[in-house]
Amino acid sequence: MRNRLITIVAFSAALMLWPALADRAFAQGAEAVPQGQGGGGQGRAAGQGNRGRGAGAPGGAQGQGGGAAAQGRGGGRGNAAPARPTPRWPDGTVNWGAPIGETGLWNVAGGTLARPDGSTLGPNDPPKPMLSEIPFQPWARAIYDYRQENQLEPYTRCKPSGAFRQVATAYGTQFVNFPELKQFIIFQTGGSHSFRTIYMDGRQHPKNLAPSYYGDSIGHFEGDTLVVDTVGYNERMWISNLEGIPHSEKLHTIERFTRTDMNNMRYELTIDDPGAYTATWKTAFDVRFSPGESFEFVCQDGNQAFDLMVGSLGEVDRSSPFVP
Amino acid sequence: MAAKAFRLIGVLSLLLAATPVAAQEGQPVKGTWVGFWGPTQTVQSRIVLVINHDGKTMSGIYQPGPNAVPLKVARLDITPGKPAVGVARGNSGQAPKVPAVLPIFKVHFEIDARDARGNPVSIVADGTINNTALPNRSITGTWTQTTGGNTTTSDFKIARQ
Repeated sequence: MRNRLITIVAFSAALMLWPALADRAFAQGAEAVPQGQGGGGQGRAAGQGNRGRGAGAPGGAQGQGGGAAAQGRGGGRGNAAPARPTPRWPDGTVNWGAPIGETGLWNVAGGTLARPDGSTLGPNDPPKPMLSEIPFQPWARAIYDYRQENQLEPYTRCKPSGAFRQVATAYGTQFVNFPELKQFIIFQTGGSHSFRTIYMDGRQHPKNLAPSYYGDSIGHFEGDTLVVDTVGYNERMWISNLEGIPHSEKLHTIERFTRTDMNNMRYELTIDDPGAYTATWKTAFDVRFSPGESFEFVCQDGNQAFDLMVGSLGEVDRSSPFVP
Repeated sequence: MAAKAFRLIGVLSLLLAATPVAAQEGQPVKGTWVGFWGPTQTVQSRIVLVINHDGKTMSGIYQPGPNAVPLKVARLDITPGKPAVGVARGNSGQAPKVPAVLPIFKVHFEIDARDARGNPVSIVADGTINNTALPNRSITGTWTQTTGGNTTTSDFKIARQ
């Protein structure tokens, strides 16, 4: 009888522990980046690239994780030589991917939309506002503060994320222009392993859009710069990974992508969201191109980023009142 | 005895394992809220609220359907929080020197409705949002309803659908 009870209790304990073990086994994120598969150059190697909130935590109270330090290092894997010029197709248009015979993916170095109050920008740093310069609505600031204490980003539960967060998807993104189709598509490797289509055929946004994760994107070129106008976002995702900048369904973004050389792309984002902010504001990032190829990624299967959900320093942190 | 204990522990274990997946969302008050108020556990009345927030102001509908009425007064009051001191984030694995104080979201709404007999009913409710940024958030508070000169006050709880 006693042995039977012990067996029952042991079995029950195993059942209770299962969620924690499952989190470790199936959480999704960038900690297990295979070398050569979208590692993302020095920024990633230094642990300051697209590793999500856990990596940004030590320096990131107000969004200072990763960011500027990584952004000044150039792309590639330790290659200090000057970057080659922007690759182009025979017709002179920008090749947004790798030249024929090479591989490459885009990775964001640092993932915050704001920099810490009191910080200064270097001459080559992308213009990024300080946190206190962001014109939050009161509710949006409160939610921002709330998210600093509970890092439950929908992306870590395999939800798609729009706008900047899509560009900052773990394991890199591919930018492919299909001029014949008048479409420009951004493919992402990690997360929901999905893509965003940017319609380049001159159409307008549909009326009565049903809100969605990526919204409705239309684009055009201004010289070498791709300009993307997007509306119709839902509120079920975050638009920035390291800090949880809030948004509402009224979000309207304008993204400007400019490949400045072989290894670098400047990403500028205008946020127009009267539901969450009192004024339009802008931010910018550098995105790095480094060798690697996209690979099959099924979020639910490859999800190994328990640290992004419940803690980041080796042990699963159950102090949060919310269990993802 | 053992079989009973096994069943009990098994059920509890399954409930724990089925803890809902939760991730944070956008504006916390927006959405459809369903719940109950009532003077006792056995006398409960259903509440259905559809609430919207345009960034500045809150609005909504009580009991959507043929007898729907708009919220006469709807307000979201936010008490700002304070960030933790000593570590970057609360989930970094280290205890902060000074823990963060989370923002508090309180709602207040007033409704002029009618009961099943067509009598006017005045409702005033004050509540606090729990699990504020999560999909399974709820509002709990005090519900005061006046009809025919009689005022009843009780707790209420509504959960976002």
